[in-house]
Amino acid sequence: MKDSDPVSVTKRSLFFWITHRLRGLQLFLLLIIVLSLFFRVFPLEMQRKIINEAISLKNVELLFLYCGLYMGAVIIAGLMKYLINCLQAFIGQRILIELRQELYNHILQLPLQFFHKTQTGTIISALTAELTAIGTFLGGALAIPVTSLLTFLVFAGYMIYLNPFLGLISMTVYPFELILVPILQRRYNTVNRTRVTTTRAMANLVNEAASGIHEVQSNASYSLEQSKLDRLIHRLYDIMRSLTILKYGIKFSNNLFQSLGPFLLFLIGGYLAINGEFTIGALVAFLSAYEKVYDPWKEIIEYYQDYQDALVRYRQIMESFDLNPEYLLTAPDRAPLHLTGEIEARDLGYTLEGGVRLLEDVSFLLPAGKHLALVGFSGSGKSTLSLLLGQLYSHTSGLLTIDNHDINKLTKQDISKNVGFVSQHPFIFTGSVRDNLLYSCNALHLAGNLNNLPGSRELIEMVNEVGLAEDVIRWGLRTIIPPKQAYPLVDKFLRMREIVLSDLQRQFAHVVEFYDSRKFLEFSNIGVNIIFSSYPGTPHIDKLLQSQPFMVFIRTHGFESKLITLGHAIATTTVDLLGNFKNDDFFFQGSPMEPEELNDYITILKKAEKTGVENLKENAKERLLALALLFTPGKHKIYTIDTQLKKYIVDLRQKFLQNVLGIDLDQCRNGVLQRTIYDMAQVSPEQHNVFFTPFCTSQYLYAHSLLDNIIFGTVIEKDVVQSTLGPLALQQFEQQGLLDEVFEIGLDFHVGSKGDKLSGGQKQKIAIARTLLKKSPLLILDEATASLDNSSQAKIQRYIDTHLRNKTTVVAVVHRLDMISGYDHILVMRAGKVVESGKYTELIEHKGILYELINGS
Amino acid sequence: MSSSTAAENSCRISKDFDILRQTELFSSAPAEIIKLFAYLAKHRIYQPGETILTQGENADNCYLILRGEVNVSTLHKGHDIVVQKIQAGNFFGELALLASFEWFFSATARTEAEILITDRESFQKVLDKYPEKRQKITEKIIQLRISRFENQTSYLLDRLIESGYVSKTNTDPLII
Repeated sequence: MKDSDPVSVTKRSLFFWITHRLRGLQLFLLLIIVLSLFFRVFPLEMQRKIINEAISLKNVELLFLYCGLYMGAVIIAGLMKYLINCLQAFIGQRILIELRQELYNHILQLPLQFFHKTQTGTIISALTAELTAIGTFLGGALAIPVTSLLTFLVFAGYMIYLNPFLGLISMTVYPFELILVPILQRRYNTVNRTRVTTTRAMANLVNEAASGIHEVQSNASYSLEQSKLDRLIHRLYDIMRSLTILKYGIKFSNNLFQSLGPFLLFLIGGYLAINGEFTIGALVAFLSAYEKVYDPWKEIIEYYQDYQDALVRYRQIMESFDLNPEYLLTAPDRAPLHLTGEIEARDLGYTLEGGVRLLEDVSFLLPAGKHLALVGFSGSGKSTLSLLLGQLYSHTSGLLTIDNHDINKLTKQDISKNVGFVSQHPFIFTGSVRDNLLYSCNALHLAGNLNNLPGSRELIEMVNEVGLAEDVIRWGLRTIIPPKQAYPLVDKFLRMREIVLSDLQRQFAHVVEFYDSRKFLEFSNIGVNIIFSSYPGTPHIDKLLQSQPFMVFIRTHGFESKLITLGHAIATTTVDLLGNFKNDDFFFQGSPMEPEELNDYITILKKAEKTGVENLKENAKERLLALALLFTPGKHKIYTIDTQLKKYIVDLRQKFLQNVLGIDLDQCRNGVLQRTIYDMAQVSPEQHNVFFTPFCTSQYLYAHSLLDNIIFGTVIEKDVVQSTLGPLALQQFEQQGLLDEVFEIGLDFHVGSKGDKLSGGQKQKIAIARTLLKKSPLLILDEATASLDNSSQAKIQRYIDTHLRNKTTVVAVVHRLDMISGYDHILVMRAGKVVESGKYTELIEHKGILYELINGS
Repeated sequence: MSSSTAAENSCRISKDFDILRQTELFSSAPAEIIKLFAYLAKHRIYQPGETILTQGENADNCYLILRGEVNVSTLHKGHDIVVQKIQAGNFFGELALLASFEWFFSATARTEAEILITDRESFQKVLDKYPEKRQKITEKIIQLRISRFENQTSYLLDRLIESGYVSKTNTDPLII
């Protein structure tokens, strides 16, 4: 729909959007506005009649009639105004959607160089806050001036109809304002423009500091960054000050003129009425009309201000993105091409704007399905060549064709359908692993170039091919599976727990703390040690503190005060040692206290010193209690508790399990405890986590990760357990027929913002998998395996050598020369030129540059 | 709250504090720094034969042997050769506190070994708070490394002599 608009998004005027969009709806709006005018004038006429006829004739019936008509008209006018406002906002938002979509679409297609030059913050604020402001204006852009003008004319006409002389007199006030206000307004606009640029600079600065937060924190350059912002804040302050002075100056002149009207009216109208040339009723109606006539006037002025404001914003947005995309998205006259992948380069060159030559006179012919390796020194132009092939840069001289089509003539759709590109530092999007794996396929699917998205089977196969299988299993293990999804699999998971407990308990004895009801758990917190269960809201302690059964239990056993004393002691040692590290998370790793809670606890400790711990207020006591319950001896070195207390807690635990949860401890340990206490309670799986689930071998802990559940304990040394458990889990899941389910769970793992929960290797493997899933006839790898370990590199190379041979044309920039023997053809590059070219064996026999590279390095 | 009870109860920190204070590395460091290191250091018990660190992996930790013995070995032409035995009370991996690199040796517990581990992040974070002490402690670490290097060389030479490859009376320089 939008491609048919001949004018580029950035070249359109602000009013283009109003005149070309939602015409029918806008016409309807106009109609309602005109109609509503009648209902706005009508009450004035009623006012005159009420006074002149009903009151002066003392006719009650007429009074009722006129008052009724008056009220009816007012209500209808009000309802219409309501409808007009809603319609206006609705139209504005609808236009905004299209404006935003088209602009975003335009920006995404801009050349890469644009993104190198432009700060991300600029793009973000342009598309969000600044466009929103424009949207609000757009809704009323036509309706407001038309309404105001018509209203003005109708009321002015009515006044002239009542008394031409008085009507014209009261109109004379306005022209003065017509001169003064625009002058002030123009000044306001100029200042406002600097406000927009300053605000943008501020957004950029904050964005930069947030992106480089590692640098900022490691250098502790807080005050440096602060001072940068300070300058802008102060500039903004100055701007806002001038803006305020101007804005209220405009308001003041408006108010002055507004009061001038009634002054003239009473003076002249009063004089006429005294002389009997004007009725009282007419004077009242006149006064009302005069007030009403001011509204459209005010609206027009406000509209003018908004218009200027929106225009400033709009121009600035459009100017910053006023570039043309280098390539067409789709060809107007044909469907996306289906290419075989034959590549030819003839005297190909690429020169930067400043005249720096990155590539010159490169010529080669690669038949479809053949594999080409680009090797050479760094800076030799290998990457540049691969970027040209991916249509990410466009060459400046010579010819580059795919299946005899000039690459610059191909559309983005052609490229997307036929070329897969994996870069050296691939980008991973926020979302699940699955989302990222399907990224390229989804793009094709949306454009209608791919009918069926790869199914789970295909995803899992690909995950295996790129060596990501163990990672996916590991992600699956780390997941807290939603009860509904876990419920049908619980029996199988518990079977795996049995295997771990029987086969691995000895091996893991030093790296895992298994849940044993008779032992104090050093790596679980005191709260968990008492209840030995996953509780509603695990692992957040506040839910436990709100649990009636738990609180009653520790109170009746006199343990609450002991815990508060413990919390007090922990708070004291933490404040002693870490009192100076308020802003540093790192130092709080050995204490149950959060750095931001430090000040609160300092206050509590001071109070306790005065009044004694036992006389503290309830909420202060609760904070100390929380600290004690969160204390995990194995993790929090800040404090040490003695074995006597640990033994006491274990005894207390037995009582809690038996008396509060009603569990037979022997049954719990031996795994014969009723497996599904939930089934007994007959509740749906989603509600399982509202109960305490005891750490009994027969219980699946819905609030814990799959790993915790299978290991049935706390992992102390993650590395050891993962490296041992990874392959073992893979094998066991397979035997249990659980592999697909766990893969599915692992694929739904959320990769964090921009994939920050993934390692470099994992990102790279996902990027390779997502491109391979596309099954494009041409594959370009720009050092795509550089950040992988040797065996992963070899695995992927093997896949390329076997699965893609004679099927997919591959062009790979290869850093490691021991990987290139499988390629059909090698280009050796140096300083932007091809210095050697041929088959691997030929080049080695020839003992030229490649030979030297391999044996010399 | 009096500070005496706090000190009594924070006994794991005090214990490690006493150990660290007696080492050469921290002999001249102020108490508050040693206390922070004691607080941030982690205990770990390794089983006989268990790998502590592996050649080629990223070096992030420094190790102090509290109890037991550790073998340090280097992979050379496919052979894992023990180049040093380290006793309780000694550090290894101390360079990891200063810089990021890949381990150029492996370490394995010879007997059951209890080890106090300090990671580079902790070390750097503490010294960030006390920048004036950085110079002195860095110097100590390098001295420690040199003495361990001397130690290692003499261990290797002893092995050579033992194996009869070289006699003590031989006056010609030994070329390996």
